[in-house]
This record gives sequence, C-alpha cells and structure tokens, in this order.
Amino acid sequence: MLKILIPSMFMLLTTWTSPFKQLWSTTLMYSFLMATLSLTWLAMPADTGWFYINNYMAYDPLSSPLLVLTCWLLPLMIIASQNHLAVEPENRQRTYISLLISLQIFLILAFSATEMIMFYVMFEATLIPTLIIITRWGNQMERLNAGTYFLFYTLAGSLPLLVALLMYHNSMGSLSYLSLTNLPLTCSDSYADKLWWMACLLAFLVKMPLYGVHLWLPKAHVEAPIAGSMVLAAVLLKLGGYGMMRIMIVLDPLTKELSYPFIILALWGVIMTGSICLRQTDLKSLIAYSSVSHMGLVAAGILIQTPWGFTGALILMIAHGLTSSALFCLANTNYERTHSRTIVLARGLQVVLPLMATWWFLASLANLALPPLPNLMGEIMIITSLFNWSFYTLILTGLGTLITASYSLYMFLLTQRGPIPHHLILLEPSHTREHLLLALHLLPLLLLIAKPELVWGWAA
Amino acid sequence: MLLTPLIMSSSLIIMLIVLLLPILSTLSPSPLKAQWALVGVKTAVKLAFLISLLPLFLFLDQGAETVVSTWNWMNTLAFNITISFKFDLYSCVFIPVALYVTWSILEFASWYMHSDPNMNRFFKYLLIFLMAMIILVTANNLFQLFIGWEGVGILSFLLIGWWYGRADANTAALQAVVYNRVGDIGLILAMAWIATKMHSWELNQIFILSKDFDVTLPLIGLILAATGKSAQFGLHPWLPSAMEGPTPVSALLHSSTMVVAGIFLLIRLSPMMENNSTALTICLCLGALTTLFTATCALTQNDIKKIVAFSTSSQLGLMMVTIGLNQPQLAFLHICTHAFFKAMLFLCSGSIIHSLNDEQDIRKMGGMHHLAPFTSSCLTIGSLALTGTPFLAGFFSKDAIIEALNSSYLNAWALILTLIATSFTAIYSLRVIYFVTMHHPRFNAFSPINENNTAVINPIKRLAWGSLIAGLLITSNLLPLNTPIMTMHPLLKLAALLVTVLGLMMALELASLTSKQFKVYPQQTLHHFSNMLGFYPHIIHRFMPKVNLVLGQAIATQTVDQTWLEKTGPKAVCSLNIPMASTVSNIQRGSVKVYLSLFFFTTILALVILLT
Repeated sequence: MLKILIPSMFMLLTTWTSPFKQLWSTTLMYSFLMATLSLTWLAMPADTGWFYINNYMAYDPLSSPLLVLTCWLLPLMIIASQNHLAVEPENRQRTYISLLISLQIFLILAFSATEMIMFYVMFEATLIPTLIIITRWGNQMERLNAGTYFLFYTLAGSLPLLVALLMYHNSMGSLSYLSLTNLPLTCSDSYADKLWWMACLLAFLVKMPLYGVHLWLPKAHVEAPIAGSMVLAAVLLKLGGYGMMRIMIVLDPLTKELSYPFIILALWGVIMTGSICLRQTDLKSLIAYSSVSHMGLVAAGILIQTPWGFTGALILMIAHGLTSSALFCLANTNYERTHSRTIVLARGLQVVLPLMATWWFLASLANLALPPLPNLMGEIMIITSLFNWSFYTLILTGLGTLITASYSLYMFLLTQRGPIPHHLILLEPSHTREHLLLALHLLPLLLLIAKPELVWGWAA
Repeated sequence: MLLTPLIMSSSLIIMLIVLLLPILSTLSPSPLKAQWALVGVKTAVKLAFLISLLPLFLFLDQGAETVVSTWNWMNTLAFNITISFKFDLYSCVFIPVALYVTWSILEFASWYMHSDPNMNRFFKYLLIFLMAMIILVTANNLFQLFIGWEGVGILSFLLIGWWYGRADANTAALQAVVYNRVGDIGLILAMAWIATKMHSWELNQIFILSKDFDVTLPLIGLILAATGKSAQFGLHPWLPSAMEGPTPVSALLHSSTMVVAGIFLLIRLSPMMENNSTALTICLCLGALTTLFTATCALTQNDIKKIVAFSTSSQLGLMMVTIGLNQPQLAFLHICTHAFFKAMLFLCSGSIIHSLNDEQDIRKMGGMHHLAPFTSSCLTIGSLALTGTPFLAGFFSKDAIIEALNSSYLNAWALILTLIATSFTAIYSLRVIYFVTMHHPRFNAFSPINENNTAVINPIKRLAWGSLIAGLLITSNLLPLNTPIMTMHPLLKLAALLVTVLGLMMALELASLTSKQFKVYPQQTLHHFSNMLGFYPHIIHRFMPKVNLVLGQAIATQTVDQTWLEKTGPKAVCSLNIPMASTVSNIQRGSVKVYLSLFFFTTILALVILLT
C-alpha cells in the first residue's frame, strides 16, 4: 500500500517542482507508473481473506479492484483535463493536478482502511477536493448551487453514520473490519436499533445515490469539469457501494426485512431515471441519470445480500466506473468542440469524427450491457439474485434493461448518426490524446471479459 | 475410434479461426485494400464452408456428435461457466447452410454495394454477424448463447442503419433493437430461473434436470425471447421495417440467419419443452396467429422487399407452429430449406431493384421476364419453392409440417389459420411474379437493366440449385426423430397442395379482376386492414413510447425530480430556515429598547424557572 501511497504524496511535490513545460507529461508518466504498480494488488497471494500491509491498511479481493480503478483513473483524468486547462495560468494548472492527486490519496486511504472510522474520515475528506474542483472549475454559475447540493446531501447523510459508528465502537470496543465478523451480533428489534441500522446505511445510500436522494448527482455531474465528472462517476459513487458491503456484516439480523423498501425503491429508480434519460436534452445530464439508474441496480444487488448479489454489484461497479467515465469523456470531446452540452446541437458527428463514432458505439454498448462485457455479467448476476428473492423484480429489472438499451442507442443515434447540421463547421479533428483516453477506458473493460474473477470480490 | 471426434472438433475450430482471421486483420492500423472484401472475406467464408462440410459428412456417415468444453471461464460458488461448443445435428447441418448462403450473399453484395465507399466495413459487419450467429448455433451453455444472441441483435442494428444519413434507417435500426430487447427480457428471465433452480447454464445439465421441475415459467420466457427475435405476433413490426437496410443485409439477416435464431433457440431447448403442454400450446397458437396475420399483411404490400419480408415472417410463424406440434426437427428442416429460397428471393429482388434504378414498388415494374430473364426465372423458382411446389426445397419441409399438423389432435383453430396462411402464400407469391415479371414494363425508359455480371448470376444460381435440391438432400439424409405417420386420408395428405392450388386459383381470379370495375366504389376496409399492417404499428408505436415518454417527462422529471424531491428536500430546508434566520437578524438592529426588553424578559423567564 505504501508503495503507492508514498509516491502519491510525493507526486504533489513533483507537481509543484517540475518545470512548467513538462508539467503534464511528468505527472502523466508518474501517475501511469503508479497505476501500473497498483495492478500488483490484483494478484492475491492467499485465495481469500485479507492481505495485510500494516495495522491500519489492508486489502482484500473486495477492495483491490476499486483501489486499482482509483489508481487507473488518475492518469486518465490528467489526460482528459489537459485541453481545457491549457488556457489557465501555471499556478492554477498545478493546483488542479494537486487536487486530483489529493483525491487519489484520500480514496486509496478510504478503500484500504481497516478501521471504520478511518474509512469514514477519508470518505468525508474526498468531499473537499471534489467540491473545489466543481465549484472552482465548473463552467457556469450553477456550479455553486451544484456544489452546495453535493456537499450538503453527503454531509446530511453521513453525520448519522458518524454517530452510529461511535455508538457501535462504544459498545464493542473495535471498528476494525478484521474483527467485525467475529463480534457478537447486537441488533434487536427495538426502534433504536432500527434507527441505528438506518443511520449506518443512509450515508452510503445517499452517496450511491439511491433514487430519491439523487438530486445532487446530476447537478454535480453537469457542472463539474471533465475530471470531476469522471472521478465522481467512476470512483466516488463506488465509495457508497463499498461502504455498504463492508457495514452489512454487522447489521445482519435486521437487514433482511428492513432492506425491502430500499430494494424496491432502487429498482423503481432504475425505471424512473431511465425514463428521465429518454427525455434529456443535456448530454452530461443524460449520462448522469444513467449512472443513477445503474447504481440503483448495484444498490439492490448489495441489499439483497447474497454472494451473487455482492459479486454482481462489484463487477457492475467496476464496469460502470469505466463505462460512465468513458461516456463523460466522449461528452467532453463534444463539449470542447461545440461548447454546448445540448444534444441536438451536436448531431451527425460520425461524418466529421468517424473514429470517435466507434468509441461512442463501444461505450454505448457497454452502457446497455452487451454480452460478454463485464457490465452484462454484473447485471445478470444482480438480476438473478433479485429474481431468486422475488419473481416480480424481473418486471422492474427487465423493463430497466429495455429502457437502458433504448436511451443508450438513442444517445448514440442522435449524436453520431443522421446528417450533419449546417452550423457545425470548423470542428477540430479528434486528437490522439482523446483516442488514447478512450482506449484506456475501454481496453480494460474488454480485457476484463477474459478474466472477470479479478473483479469478482470475495466469492472467487 | 477417437479419430472422428478429433477431426470433427478440429475442423470446426479451424473453420472458426478461418472466419476470425479477416476480422483480426482489420485491427491493423494500415487501411484495408479495396479488394479486401472479396479476397479476404468472401474467400474466408467459402473456405469455411468447405471445411464445415467435413464434420457434416462425418455426422451423416457415423452420426458423430461432439461437445467441446474448454477453459473454465467463470466460476462462482460451484456455478461454472465454461467455453463450450456443441456440434450436434443442428449445428452440423446449420453451419454449412449458413455459410453457403452467406458466401452467395457476400458475392452478390460485392456487386450491389460496389459504389459504397465503405464496402470493406460492410463486409466486416456481415462477417462479425455471421460469427455471432455461429456462436449462437454452437453454444452449449446459455451464457454463450446469449453472447451470440445479442451479437446478432447489435450487428443488425449496425447493418439496418447502414445508410445512417437517413432518418428512416436509423428509426428501423432502433426499432429492431428495442423489439429484440423486449424478447431479451424473456431470455434473461429464463436464464435467471435456470440459474436459481438448476445451478447450471450448461444445456446438457438443464435437459437432465428439467424433468424434476415445473418449467412453464422459463419456457414462457424462452417463447417471449423467440417472439422478439423471430418476429412473432406482437413483436413483429421490426422485421418489415428492417427492410430499410441494404438488400444483402435483408437477405442475410432477415431471411435466413438472425430471424431464425428465435426458432433455433426453441429447437435447441426443445428437450425441455416436449413435456410441457402449456408451452407447446402457446407456441402453436402464437405461430398460427403470426403466420396468418403476416401473410395477410403481405397480400397488399407494394414494396417488393416488404412482401418478401412479410413472407419471411409468415414462414417463421409456420416454424413456430411446428415447434408447437412438438416437431422441432421439422422446424429445423424448414429453417434450412427456407434459408436457400428466401435468400435467393432477396437477391433477385435486389438485382431487380438495382436494375430499375432503386425502384422498389412492384406497381412500377413489369415485363422483367424479357429484360432480365435469369433473375426473373430465379424469382419464380424461389416463389414456387416458397409456396411448397412439389419437389422444390420448400415442399419437403412445408408439406411435412402441414401433414403433421393435419394428423395431430391439437387445436383446430390453429390448424385452420395455418392452412389459410398457406393458401395466402400462393396468393402473394403469384402477385409478386405477376407484377414483376409479366405484362409490359411500367418503369422509366432509361433503366440500367443489366444482370450479366458474374457477381449477380453466380450467387443467384448457387442459391437456385439450393432451392431445387436442398430439400431432397437434407430430408433423405436426416433421420426423423419422431416417427412420421405413414398412412393417412388422401385429403389430409394433399391438404397442403390443395390449399395452395386454391390460393393460386383465387389469385389468378383476383388478378383478372384488377382490370375490371364492377362496383363504383371498391370495398376497401379489408384492403386497408391488410395494407396498414392491421393498424398494429400505428397503435403500438404511438401508444407505448408516449406512455413512457410522458412518464419520463411529466412524472419522473417534472413532478418528482424537479418538484417534489426538490421542494421537500433542499428547498424545504431552505424555506424553513429563512424565516427563523430573518426573525433573529431583524431583531438585532441596534435599537437599545429591543435589547433591554429582551434582556428583561429573559431574566424574568430565568427567574421563573429557577424559582419554581
């Protein structure tokens, strides 16, 4: 862990000391080296269980895919931000990269923490750089509003968690994941315990986000600069899923009944947000709502608490992280050319940017979960485990897949196919940088087909 | 003894590699040569066809069937998914047929698409499509089958929308995917059910275990899947719409390969189905309804490709009926014979459309028999084979199906519908021949009619041979699984022929009536019903999307997201706090009276509390 963490911290130093001319290339190279090194985490020395680094940090098959995803995303964010920061002064560029790096440090600490409180602190700490990225580098006035929503939804959701965790620590004396499984179960049927259960999950459900508390997500996505959208969709939402999987262990006897309304709400959200996507005029908002829809499925998969549900949720989280991040990058390539997020203003782009259309197509296919992409593996596992619980869930999940396919392909058709409108003249051709960026998103996704057990979680 | 399976599996693997090589060669960054389509793809398919004959012969000679399982792909808690290919009767026969048909279609496409700048890409899509189909056919577990299933779906999206500048093509492409996706819900249902109850997606294990369960629910899912893919009634409108794609695409996807995937799924899983009468009855009725409804629609269409498309749909209904009769092997036979003549019909119509300067309306054709004798002869052969003329390809399967239908004790309603549809086949086939090849030309004088090109003649000729002899070849080499009824009443035996002849007579009568006007105003209700496709698309294509879009806009976005969640969440916090904040700040305006009175009241309050 320190192999990555210490270089990450020193990367801040590199950012501020390297000559401005080589700023982007140095940080990119540096972060890529770290990402490559981080791949070693996927090799599990023991078949299951924890791999200890020290008393405070460890990783297991559940956290290692998310850790690798975090490390993988930093170079991608740096590549993606290069163009739109080119107009900014030197110090601000350095600050921006530093924020991205600090985000990576917090995320690594969050995913590798063995103490619940450590996780909590880092979970909250990620808010700071993200908030600055959104409210400082967003493009419009609404970014301030979006920042407020982002901050207060998460804070309001997670303060009860802090209280709940302290209470638990008070009675048990430990909040370490390593010992959580061995502790006696304390939940009873009292109202206080139900409230405690709710407090434990609320923070993560808001972060996921569950339908109903999702308002902050589209706003934040729409207003954030590209790197912010990428990291938000790819990793930050997954903090919610990860935290839920971790804390589920101690909530055990209560979870079975109490989670039913949330499962149903999540599945209903899949349909509602999917329908919203069909009517979106704003490209980034469409992708954001599709994230809500997919994460609803993840939430349902986790709450159902079967090994298949957990495995499916983890696979879908990783696959969705790469896919939605790729889609945001694609939306950004449009945005950098037309300076508008409105879909109807950038149509028929296949004629102008033919290779980009291929990336669009692949990303849309991944979004609609084409077999054998990992997206499908995740979805079908979640659908199966939900089906095992109740037959009727299939109506919701089935309609969900139908709507997902509709809006994904609708988005593809609208942006890429058809005649090119007359106002789109003088479009810049696509850069190698952009192709590289998308290849680095989609190649891992394609390679995961061959060895999905890397992101299987603990079921392997 | 071990040599047979070795030869069989290795030649099939070689065949897959041969098909895969051209696809891999496109990954090289240097641009493809203009000849790549013909030299690379067509040759590969031809070679693959020749290779695939070897296992076919081994199968015919020794009845060899084999399953190749390698590489444990996924493994969760005793649930294994392996890469597993099944080379049995169905895949051994279907693969050569598919490859033969594709070989012809590719050659034809090189002529039809010769002015298209992206011809190489077109061929690549066709080849990937073929690969997906072969994966579907050879799959031995449901996950692998699902890969092929979705693969053909998505490639059909690309191919139907090939002329992506046209809004119609894009709509048709999306329509195909959405309808197929409805069917996919059924497949997902079946997969989920099978995974939860049987803990395996391997076909062999499913067949063994299905005896112990009530499998009605997953079977309904599978039937729904087949309904979507094979354009059965309810989910049929995408198939005629898909004629927006180039003609070779229609020939490959929507005649002989992709649309039969749904039927093939049911054939593949028929061991699960054979004891479940509910599922069989659903298949029977659904198929009968489809075959009649789409045959009715075909009667009054004027677009030559639409007629052929509807006839495909009608034949698919007939296959579904056969599944319902619990005769999967006959359905499979019909798939194989149907592939030849349907692909040929499409190629002929493609050739005619090209010759008449992209004119598709049969009312603007005519007299092609003199101008394009080869194409129109083959069009006639294809139509005759389609109607089940004795000893052409269609006869062997269609006649057997109708016989099986007549001698069964099943639903008489379904039987009558199917017979009517069979006679309709003769009517619309004659209508095509009548309007396209007979009488005088009704098109512009300067049509570039020229069929003298080997790339047109050869493929059509090959398929014509297929339409002539494939039925005989296949029936005489395959042993039927169910014992056919050997003796029956002559009327029953001849039923298929009789209704066809009856249809033909009616069609001739109708044709002679078209030039006469007995009534002042013609009776057009029935015509409108048929011509407007039973008003089905008009109702469903307006209603369903509207419901969903209104849900998306009015309810999900405006009512819930922008109003309720916003007002009860963040805005409520805001509006609850503002009055308090403003009250408190309004008090503190620096006036001494207010401070003193506040101080006074607070002291009084504190004293009261302390003293009591």
